[in-house]
Amino acid sequence: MITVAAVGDVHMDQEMRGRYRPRLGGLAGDADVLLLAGDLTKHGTVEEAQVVADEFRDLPVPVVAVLGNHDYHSDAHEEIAALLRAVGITVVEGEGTVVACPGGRLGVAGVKGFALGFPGQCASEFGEPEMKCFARSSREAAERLGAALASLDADTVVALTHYAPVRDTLAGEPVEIFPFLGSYLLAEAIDAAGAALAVHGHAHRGTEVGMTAGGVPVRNVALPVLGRPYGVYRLDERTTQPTR
Amino acid sequence: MEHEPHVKELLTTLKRAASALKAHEVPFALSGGFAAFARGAPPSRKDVDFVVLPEDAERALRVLIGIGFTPADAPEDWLLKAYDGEVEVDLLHTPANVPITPATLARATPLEVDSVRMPVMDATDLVLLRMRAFGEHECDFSGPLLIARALREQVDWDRVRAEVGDSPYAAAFLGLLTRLGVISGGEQEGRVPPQYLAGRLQRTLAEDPRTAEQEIRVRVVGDDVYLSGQVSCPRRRGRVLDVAREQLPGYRIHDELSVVRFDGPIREERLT
Repeated sequence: MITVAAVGDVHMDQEMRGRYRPRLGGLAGDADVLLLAGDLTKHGTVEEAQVVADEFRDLPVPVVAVLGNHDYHSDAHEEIAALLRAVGITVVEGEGTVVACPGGRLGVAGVKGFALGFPGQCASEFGEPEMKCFARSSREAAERLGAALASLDADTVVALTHYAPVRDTLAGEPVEIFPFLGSYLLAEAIDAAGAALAVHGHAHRGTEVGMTAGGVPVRNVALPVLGRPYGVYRLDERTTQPTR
Repeated sequence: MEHEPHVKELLTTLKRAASALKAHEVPFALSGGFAAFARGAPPSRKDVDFVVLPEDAERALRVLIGIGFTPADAPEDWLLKAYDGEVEVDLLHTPANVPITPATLARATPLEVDSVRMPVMDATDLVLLRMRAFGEHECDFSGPLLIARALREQVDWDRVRAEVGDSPYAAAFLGLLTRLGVISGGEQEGRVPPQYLAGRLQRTLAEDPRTAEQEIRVRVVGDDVYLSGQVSCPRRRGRVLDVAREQLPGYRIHDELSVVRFDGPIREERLT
């Protein structure tokens, strides 16, 4: 049995300093790992990332993070990732990491992901260069996630993204903006890897619970959706068996 | 131009008073119906109005007494009165509780009034002065309508809206002017339709570094703007409202925002 805690969209800035950390006191008893699903900052500045680092450093469980679109806003995503890594947070983008838990080896693969849409209502690599570039970014992100998941040598595999892999967890958002909230190509990669769980953020008005076409549970852990400091998901024996 | 006898009489008084004020270097501007007349409206048949600074009002009255005008008691505390024979001359210094300022007088332009050059109140100021007087017992629009028609190209209607648009009487008058097509070229027609206004504000709230909020819903109904959705902390809520007020002056901004809470109890979900 492996227990995963996850939250996204904490949107830290100076005003949030010290407001989040007090909520993390029970983490050791709750979970084996904490996953951060992107949008850790408000504007993607290094100063904001310093607040993130101070709120999430030296926790009793390993912390694995992806960045979100907000974290890219000031073109400082590389500095942000470096700063978080310096305080012991594992930041992944198209990579995987394995966490040794009492219940087994947990593999986490993550990408920020990108917009595209869902089957029948999505963009494609056709037409203007801008459109091709947009759709290609999404395809390449999903390919990186697929490769990262496949590379993991673990008992249980979890996918961590910022953008949503399915539309289930977007319920509550205006349907018209679904294509900007996620990409079904992420779900395709998650299903191919037989992941035990997929967590994402980004959709503040969405809902927590969803599932991929292949039956992988999907959880939207955006803070406004959770209304609690983090979601806790227990992966039982059955779901921790690799299905590949 | 030949005027009827009564108007001639009024113009004579006007010219005498203006010349005396000029000679004694009392800053002033012609106001009221004759200022509108100087700017192209039909001549007034009523009294002669000047605006002066509050601190100069007494001195201006003494100048008029000096040329033989008779001071009269004015029960109102915002003007002083004198008579030249039968003709009433008003010296307005604080009309509708808004004191005349050096800036008001500086905006006045020198114009010929029956061949005497004198400062004439700015057209927008003139309309504003008239519209500020609107109220429960002062909402006969026929006179102001005549003036608005005559001066419409000279008036900055956006400034009028911004300064008196809040008054229901002024809003009614502006509505009338719009419906009659008098100010059809004005701001009302160039006004952004509510759907685009909402879209524009939504984008600003996402892009403005003070807010960077992408989750704010904006609904525009007439002059009312409703903001809803969640923001990450109380101070940001204030900034969202600031940015909205800044982008949409003249609209009523309604705060239906809430602050994200994450104090719910931790619970474990078992995935099987």
